[in-house]
Amino acid sequence: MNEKPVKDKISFGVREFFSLFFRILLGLIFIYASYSKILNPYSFYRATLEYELLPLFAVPVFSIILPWIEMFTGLCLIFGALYRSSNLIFFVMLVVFEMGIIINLLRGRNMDCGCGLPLDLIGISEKLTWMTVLRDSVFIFMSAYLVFLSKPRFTLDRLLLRRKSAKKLAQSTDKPETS
Amino acid sequence: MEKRNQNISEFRQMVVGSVIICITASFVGLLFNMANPNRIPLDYKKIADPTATASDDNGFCEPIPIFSDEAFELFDAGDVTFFVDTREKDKFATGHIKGALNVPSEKAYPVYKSLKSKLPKDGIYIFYCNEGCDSSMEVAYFFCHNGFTDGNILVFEDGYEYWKEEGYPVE
Repeated sequence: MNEKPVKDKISFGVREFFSLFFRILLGLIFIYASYSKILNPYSFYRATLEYELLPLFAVPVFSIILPWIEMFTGLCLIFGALYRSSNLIFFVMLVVFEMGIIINLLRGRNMDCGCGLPLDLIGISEKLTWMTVLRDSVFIFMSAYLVFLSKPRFTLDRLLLRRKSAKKLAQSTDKPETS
Repeated sequence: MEKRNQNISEFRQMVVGSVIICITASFVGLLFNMANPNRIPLDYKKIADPTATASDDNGFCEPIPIFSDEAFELFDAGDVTFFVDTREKDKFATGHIKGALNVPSEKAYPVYKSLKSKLPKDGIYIFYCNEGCDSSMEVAYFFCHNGFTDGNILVFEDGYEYWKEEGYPVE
């Protein structure tokens, strides 16, 4: 009679809200960006070349693989599959992109970002500027929040974990008690 | 101690998961590229103009290796449009073949893009670096597949040091 009820209530506070919001926002941005890069592989190849950071032989493989990593990571992030891992990939990718942008700005290059975002639709230039750095810094902040502070809710990982533990619990209660 | 072990285990899981995502995505990406009619060849030497679409065809050309005496003969006769030095900028600055352009391999595309209008497609170009290096051949292939004339893209494989030792003009 005195047993405490099992806490099955979903708590949803500010941290959970921001985790969900950042996760969906970043996931959608990366899926869109990867989609346009996958559709126009040569355009992304050109953009990668223009950054002048990779040796020539590595550019084709990089420009083929990267959009798919973005796509998979974006999907994992939205659905919450391999949640922590997808956050880590995002964080590392964003930091690397930011470094590439800063290096080219310091070189005084006037070039397109090649980010694959529909910025021209909302009147923002796709050219590399310090605004691009600022925008990416916001993304890095969101990503860092997800890696270090997030409280994952509504994720596939949690769903699978719950099912697994429920199954375990059911199995343990089915076992006859041995004294 | 238990908490530390738990953190290490969580971090390990996170890294393993990241590797799984990256490998799976790379595999799918490579498969998709193979099936894509507008595919990017993995070997950049087979890429024609990077601005080209699958329907464009700039033909195929192969850089021709030549020796220093042949290179000098062409130079002496004034037949060479440009010597292209593919060594790093600092090495180029210490000395290069007279009138050479500096195009390190990682800068092939932007330099090509900026000079495109000034480089005659039917001109003779001789590429060089140091003896035994690959970058001259890499950049020569790049130019070759960007619409320059087959037979006019030459690679001087003996390299800059040999040219200098022979007493040919440098600056």
